[in-house]
Formats: sequence, C-alpha cells, structure tokens
Amino acid sequence: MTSLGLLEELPGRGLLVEVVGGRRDGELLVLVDGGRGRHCRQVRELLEGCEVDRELLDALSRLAAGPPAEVRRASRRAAPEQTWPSVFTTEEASIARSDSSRAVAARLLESLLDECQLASWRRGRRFEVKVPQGVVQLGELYNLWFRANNGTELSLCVVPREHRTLPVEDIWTNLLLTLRADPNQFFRVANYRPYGSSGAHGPGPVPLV
Amino acid sequence: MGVMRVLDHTGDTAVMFDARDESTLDAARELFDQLAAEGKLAFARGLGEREGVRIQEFDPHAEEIIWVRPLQGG
Repeated sequence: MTSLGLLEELPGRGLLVEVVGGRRDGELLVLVDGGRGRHCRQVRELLEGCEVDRELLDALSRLAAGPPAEVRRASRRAAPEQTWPSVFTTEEASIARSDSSRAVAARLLESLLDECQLASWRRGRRFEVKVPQGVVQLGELYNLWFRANNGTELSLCVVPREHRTLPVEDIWTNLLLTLRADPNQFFRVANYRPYGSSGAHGPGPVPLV
Repeated sequence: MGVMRVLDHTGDTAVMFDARDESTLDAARELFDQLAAEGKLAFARGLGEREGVRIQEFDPHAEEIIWVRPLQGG
C-alpha cells in the first residue's frame, strides 16, 4: 500500500510530502496551490489508492482554502476540482539525496573541518563546534546537542532555508560556517528544548546565561 | 583563478572567475549580487584554509567563495 506523509508545510509555497511504498517509494513531492485542470488531475491520480493521514488531509484543506483573500474568492467561484493543489517538483529534493550529490557535499564539508572534527566526523558522522556560548554538536538533524557554558544541555533545531533540497552534508557545511561566523544569529533563530526530552522544540531565541 | 561554490541539490555548483579576465569577473559579480539579494551568505577562504570569513562584497582575488543559506528554526 502506498501512503503519503506530510513532512513540512512550506509557508507560501505548499506542502512537502513523501511517498512511502509502491513504485514511487521515497519520492518527495511539493504540492502547491494550483487551480489548473492538468495539475488537479495529477494530484487526484497521486492520491488515488494512497493512504493519506489526517495531518496531511488537514494541511491539504488549508492549502486548498488558501490564505490570500483573492484566492479564497476565486476558489468559491471555481469548480470544486480547481481548488485542489498541484504537484510542483520532486527533482531537486530527490537529487539532493543521491550518492553523487552527497559525495560532492562531503568533500566540501571535510575541507572545512579541523583534524579533530574530521576524525570525529569519519568515526561517527558528527562533530563539535566550540563557540563563545558553549559547544554545539552537528550531526543529528533537528536534534543538535548543545552544552552551554553553565552546563545546561539543550536540543536545538535549526536548519538552512529550504534545507530539504540540500544533501545532508551541505546542511552541516551551512550550519558550520554560519555558526562560526555569527553564533548569536544561530542561537537567535534556533528552536530548543531540554536535551533528552521528547516534547516539541520551543521557539528561539535560545536562553543563554 | 577563483571559484564560487553555491550550495544546492547537486552538492554545489561551481562558478570559476579569473581576476585577469574581466568577462568572468562581470559574470561572477552579477551572480554575487543576485545571491546576496536572495539573502544568501558568502564566505571566502584561501586555498587549504579551513575557516571561511564572511564577506559582503565580491572579492576578485578570493580563491574560494562559498555561498550558504540563511538559517531558520526547524
């Protein structure tokens, strides 16, 4: 059975979903607010026979409703199928996960690491970055370990914009360079929670004593 | 010869420029301005250096410029 899972709502752009199972397993799709018949058919075909979870259905409804007033008015006048979102592109997100893209990204990342970081990266695919606020470990997406100078341990969630179109090694390069250059900005935008807790991350800025 | 690397879905896209070749510099400057306008961040480093330095303007003598994206809470 093929199912569709909502990965992320992209404000102003649509919904990022992943196909699980079937011949399109692993494919990432962006559903955007469309309104053209051809795209509507694409989405109908995509959803046909798929298991769609409640979270995605709710998000699809929100997307079809559309936040701008002009879109809502147009939707009310239009035929029902014209309110369906459309499939935009899968290509960039899929390519970003390919071995060749990840190899290119890994080369650049490794060229930026010092000896200690490089050894740690090669050993366990993670490395630490010392900043004036403490130590941040890069390597686990959406759950970056941070130990502040006062000993407090937090889990941080911070990513580059549109990070799903980047190989994961590029995400570490992005975070490494920006963290080294402007740690204050890093901690300003990062979401956080106590390290080891399973609750949702709270919005930044990260409290630093 | 310098190179601008723009992080993207392929790993990165490299754009070469040569301080002695005005046509490559024009193209590189144009790309630099475009990426900066998109809110991306540029870091320059010399060959073999592990640290990148944030730059705000195109440096025709930079050996490598790496473009990354702004951060957001995940």
